[in-house]
Amino acid sequence: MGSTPPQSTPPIASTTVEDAPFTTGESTEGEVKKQSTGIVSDIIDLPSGKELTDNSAKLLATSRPVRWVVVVGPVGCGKTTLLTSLYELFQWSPVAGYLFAGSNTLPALEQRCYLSRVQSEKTVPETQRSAYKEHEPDYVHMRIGNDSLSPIDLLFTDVSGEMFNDARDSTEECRKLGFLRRAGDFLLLLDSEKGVRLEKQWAMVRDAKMILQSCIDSEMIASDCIINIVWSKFDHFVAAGDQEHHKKFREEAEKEFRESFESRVGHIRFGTIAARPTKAPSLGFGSGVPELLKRMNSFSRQSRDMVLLPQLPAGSRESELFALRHFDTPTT
Amino acid sequence: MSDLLDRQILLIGLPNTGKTSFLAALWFMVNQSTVKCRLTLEKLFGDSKYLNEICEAWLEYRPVKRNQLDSVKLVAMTLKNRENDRLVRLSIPDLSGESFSLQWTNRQLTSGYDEQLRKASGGILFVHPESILKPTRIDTVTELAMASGDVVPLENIEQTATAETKPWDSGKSPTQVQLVELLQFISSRVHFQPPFRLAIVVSAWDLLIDLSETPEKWVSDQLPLLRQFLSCHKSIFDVVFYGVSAQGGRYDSSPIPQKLPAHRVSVVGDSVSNSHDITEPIQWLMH
Repeated sequence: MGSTPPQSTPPIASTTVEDAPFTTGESTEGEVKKQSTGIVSDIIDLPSGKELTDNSAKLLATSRPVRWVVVVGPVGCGKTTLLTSLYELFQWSPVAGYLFAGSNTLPALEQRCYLSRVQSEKTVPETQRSAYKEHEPDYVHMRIGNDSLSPIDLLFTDVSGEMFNDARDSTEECRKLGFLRRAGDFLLLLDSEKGVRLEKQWAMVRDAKMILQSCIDSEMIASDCIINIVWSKFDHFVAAGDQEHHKKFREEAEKEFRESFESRVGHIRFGTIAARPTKAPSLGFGSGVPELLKRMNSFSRQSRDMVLLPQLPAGSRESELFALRHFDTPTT
Repeated sequence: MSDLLDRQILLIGLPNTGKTSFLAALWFMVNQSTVKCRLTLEKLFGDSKYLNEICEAWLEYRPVKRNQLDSVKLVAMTLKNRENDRLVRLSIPDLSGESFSLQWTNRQLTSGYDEQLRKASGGILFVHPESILKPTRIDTVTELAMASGDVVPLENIEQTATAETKPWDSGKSPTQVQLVELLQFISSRVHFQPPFRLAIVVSAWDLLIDLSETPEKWVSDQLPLLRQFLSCHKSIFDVVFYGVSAQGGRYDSSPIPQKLPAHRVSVVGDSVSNSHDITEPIQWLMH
């Protein structure tokens, strides 16, 4: 996963015939064939569809209001799996009453889903590990909507958990993660795979707490940001023995978060997901993900998102907005 | 001829989705008298060689020659609307399915296609039930296999150490994802004028006739991501669904059915009044 060029459409690129994937030539009657020699200049580059860089995500946000969803957690806690499972759910049906309205990063989403698809010829589904880039997040984009709601553009961070290691240990480092300030939703994942292990569970909780504390203390989280603390891989709890003990542990852990942060943030919510519940398949693929989406959207802070970045001039037609949103994002 | 309308429509679709077969059947149907189609050929216009070639293959139950990747055939015909006698010069660029695939894989289109898109008053998006790539997840396959007692549960499976992961091939991405992207590309062009009339044609509808579904229901079930996308953008894409059987059966089946050529064609859809009239989608697009 390298960096992505801005999602603007270059005008017309010149390319040699050898490089050209196809050419239609002139739109005149009859057959028009590819030129056999020479330079052709009739190829129009389309956006790469790769993950968005911080800059290209900001450019997208100039065309219409977006919701910035920051997904936080250590390496391997299921951040990317959460994103891909949401996308995979849309592949089969609407999710929590929302319809899939498009994406600027379809190839990026497809690539992230690949290792859990039959085509990869794997026997056990996996998720592609997100690349570590120091302070710059990648984003994947999904647009959702329904009959009664204007479409919502969701920009999800897709970053390696390593990015948060330094931020946890130092508010100075945390301040370098400028993208956190834009977060309308802050999804902090608690890894249930560690949660079921007595020797790991409290270290995992403390680690997550310290990340959140560092983000708050360094004033990187806006006061009206919605904090969603999510037990990921919840199938591990479902499949584990001694349910009573585990329930108590979770209650204690959630109490820790409430007591530490409830007075300091606008909203704090708890939930569970089992995006790919291999330990308890009966939960069903994407378990808890629709509920999370619903919970996020029930506490919309669209108004703040809208003023974060300049908007389009009033009166822009829907098609212009659509075009801008997809490809012709202004470069100013 | 002062009231001659000029219209251009696009045939959009990935490889093997029936675009050229549709065109071959259309060329035959507008110039025959067995079935009273809404649009009929008024007079020849320009070079009909390509249309005649594909129509001949269609009549002889031969596969229509696939369009070359590096060429675009722009066919044109002057048609008369039976209802009001209005004449329309219809232009249809016939691009190869690969050229649409390459928009997804290579992220490029030609200025020629872009120009045709600019001129188009609407388009037909073809899908073929036998060429759909689905986003099949490993866990769903494992569940099915478990149900039949063939495999052990997923949590007990170790990844085969020696198993090489097949590299990701964007060309094998799900059909519905590629189609959504094609529509996003169309709607993102600077000259795009919504609402864009889009007829969704499910080709080889005769293969699905036993399902007793409507084309719209079939698309909703088989290509749900595409359906959701279209539902969200009703102001951008004005959509009608058709099921079209342009070939009238498989060419490799024998014996050849004893049917009048015009009766090989069947069209279903909410607004279809004549089930053999392949011009119905065209007529709707030209409104």
